[in-house]
Amino acid sequence: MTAAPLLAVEGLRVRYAGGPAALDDVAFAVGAGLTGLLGPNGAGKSTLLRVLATLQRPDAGRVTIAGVDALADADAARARIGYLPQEFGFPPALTPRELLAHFALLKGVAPDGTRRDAVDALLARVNLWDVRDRPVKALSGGMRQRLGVAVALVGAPPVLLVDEPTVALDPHERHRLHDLVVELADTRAVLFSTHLVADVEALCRDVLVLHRGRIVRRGAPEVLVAPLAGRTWRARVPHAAAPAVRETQRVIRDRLVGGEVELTVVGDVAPTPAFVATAPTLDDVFAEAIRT
Amino acid sequence: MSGALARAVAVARLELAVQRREPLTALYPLVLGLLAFAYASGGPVELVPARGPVPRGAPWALALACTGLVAFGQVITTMVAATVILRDRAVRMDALLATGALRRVEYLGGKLAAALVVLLAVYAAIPVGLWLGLAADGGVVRALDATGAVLRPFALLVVPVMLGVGLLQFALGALAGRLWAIVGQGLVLLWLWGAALGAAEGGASGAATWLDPFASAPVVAATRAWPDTVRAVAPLPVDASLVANRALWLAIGALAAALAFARATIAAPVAVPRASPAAGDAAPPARVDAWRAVAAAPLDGWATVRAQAGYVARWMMRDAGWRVLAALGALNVAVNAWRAVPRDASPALAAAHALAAATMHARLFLILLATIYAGELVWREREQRTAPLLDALPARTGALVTGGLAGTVAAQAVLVALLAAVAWLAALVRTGAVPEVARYAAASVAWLLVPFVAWMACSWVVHVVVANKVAAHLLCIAAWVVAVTVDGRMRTHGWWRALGWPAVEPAAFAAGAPWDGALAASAAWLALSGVAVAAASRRVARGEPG
Repeated sequence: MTAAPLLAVEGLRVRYAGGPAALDDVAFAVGAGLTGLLGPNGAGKSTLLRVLATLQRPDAGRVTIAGVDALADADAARARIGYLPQEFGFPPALTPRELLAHFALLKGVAPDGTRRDAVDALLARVNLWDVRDRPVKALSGGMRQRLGVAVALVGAPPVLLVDEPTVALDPHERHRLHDLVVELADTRAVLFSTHLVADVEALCRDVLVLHRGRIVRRGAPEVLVAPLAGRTWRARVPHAAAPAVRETQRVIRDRLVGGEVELTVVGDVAPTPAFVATAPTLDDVFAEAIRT
Repeated sequence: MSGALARAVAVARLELAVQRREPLTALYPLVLGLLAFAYASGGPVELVPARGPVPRGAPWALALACTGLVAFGQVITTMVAATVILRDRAVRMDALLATGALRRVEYLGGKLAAALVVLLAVYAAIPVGLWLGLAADGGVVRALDATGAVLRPFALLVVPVMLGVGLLQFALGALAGRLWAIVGQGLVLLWLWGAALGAAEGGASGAATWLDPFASAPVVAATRAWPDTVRAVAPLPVDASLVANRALWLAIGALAAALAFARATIAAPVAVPRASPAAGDAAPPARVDAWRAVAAAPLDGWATVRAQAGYVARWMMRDAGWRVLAALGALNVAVNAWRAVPRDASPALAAAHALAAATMHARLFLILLATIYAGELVWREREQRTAPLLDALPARTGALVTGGLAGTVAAQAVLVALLAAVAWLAALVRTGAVPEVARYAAASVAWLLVPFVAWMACSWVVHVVVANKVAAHLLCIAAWVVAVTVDGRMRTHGWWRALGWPAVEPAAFAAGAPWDGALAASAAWLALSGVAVAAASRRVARGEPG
């Protein structure tokens, strides 16, 4: 018997006036663990996370969070999610401790003593204990990001929705956040949205690739990579020769290296002897998935 | 054109292009022009008090009307000066500009030139409005005859005041880089205006009138003794006090601008964080996993209201702008209460004078704070991007709204208590005896707190309904100006009396406060604003519409 998913989505549709569908028949279910949500800019990742966080009503579909119908009972669903938006901020004159206590209270963490202990523990967990009584305006960008993580963790929600959390962080802070997210995913469902393939490759055992509002790939990284094994070829060609290759081959990646163009193509055979077989990566899967 | 001049002109051109696309740039002259027109055409706007039989189109009356408009218009001067110098920092363009070939002098020169061009265009609406008003009232021929009387105060009062105040506000904006500093300086200027004008009306002349940054006091002092027959025909006098006043304020403005050109930076200075408290001043909790053990549950309504009220009251009272306005308000009330309370007043009369001073001189500060922070209640969470975090919490929208309003009221109550206490203490020090306490405290609630709670609630409704921060602020301030303007004329109407608080006349008040009128007005306004808040609350949405 398999456990009920902590987060389930069926037939989700969102269409903005005058535009294409931002989400088109999105469906998936995840249990405890870390799920990477990959997609290029404008793929619909933030829209999907806002819908899951009950901040935006979809035109159609169903969202179930830890057994609660999120569209029918938003407050009950909100008690079960932690949400870290892509962009957020705090009143600059208040301190991390005050803010976290406020969010904990509004989240329904009670009584007072328990709440205080939980707030202090969270501050220690995200390494903000030493700056707990400093105003937010005196914190660095990484510290504010960690405060956002602490806010998302208030009330120990079974589902965590994390939107592009590492974009503005330096490598050290990024690594710390990765560690924390991996640790959190042991008992809860963490949906980790990003356009950084390296983040997903390093962290996730389950990956969703969203493109133009649709889920176009789903699976573990090695499963996603498997169809490209033995079919990925790479070569450096002179700048002038690149257009001809692009026209005739299925080019999935294209970058400049030392003044030449390095092309990665997918095909059953090498396009020319200059192309050599290469082991496919999640980057290749992502590039191939959003190519069409 | 040299490179430096070309760059300065480019900065000015870009600023003017932005200003042209700002709806407010069109709204400012419209407001000033309509006020001038409404006055000169014989409408309900009475810009010159105690005019007696002197016609509205008399040179003396037109000059005083110009000083009143330019004092009111300093809100506009502040907004324009603040916008041109603070916008680049607000939209984070400052670093891009600072790292190019542009020098500080070119940048500030271009910005200042653009600001002055905009202000000149805005204030030109005053003579245009006056002239059109005179034409509407007495015909084009009469208006043509009065053209000199319209242009003379514009050239001698409006333009120099605009220049002096504009330079001062621009310089402070460039040096401090904070809106609250500009607003605070604007309030200091208004206070100096009120003090100098009060002195001039009380018979003072000379140096006392030089303090007036809007040049009303020297004009009042020079013409105080004029009989109506002279006031009806004589042109605006240019005496030594007026020249000294203008020279002083233009020099202050020029000095401030020179300081800005020497010291200000294009990019916002990097804030140096304060040293963190010493690590280990308190040991971290032993169980860092304690947070995992506590589950969340939707909170009951009253707990949400209490939590949100405390949160809003805290951020409001820690805001530098709130503290500056509160401090200036307290200073203003203290000085005026000290002046108003007679040394030999009885405890009841001293308390009545203190209350009169507090209600009269705290009004502007309370109105500004109520209007600004009602708007902040609607916009701040979105601007600071705290809204998505709060919206994703299991708290009822109605409870969050109620808590936010309650927090704002709590902060207002703290401020009113401070202002009332300051006036009471001034009366205590002035008379050497303890003024009446219980009635004074109750009257402070009825005459100070309740009107501003109602005003704050109505401002919040305007912000929610209009859904545009700047437009809502302007609408609220304009409504207050209109209310104050018509108040004196409407007191004879029964329905207006029912909605207005009885005036605090100290002598009569000491004998017996008009509680019936205050309670009726309080009940009416609290009911009206409560209904409006309830209706507007339905428009408050969580997250984003689908």
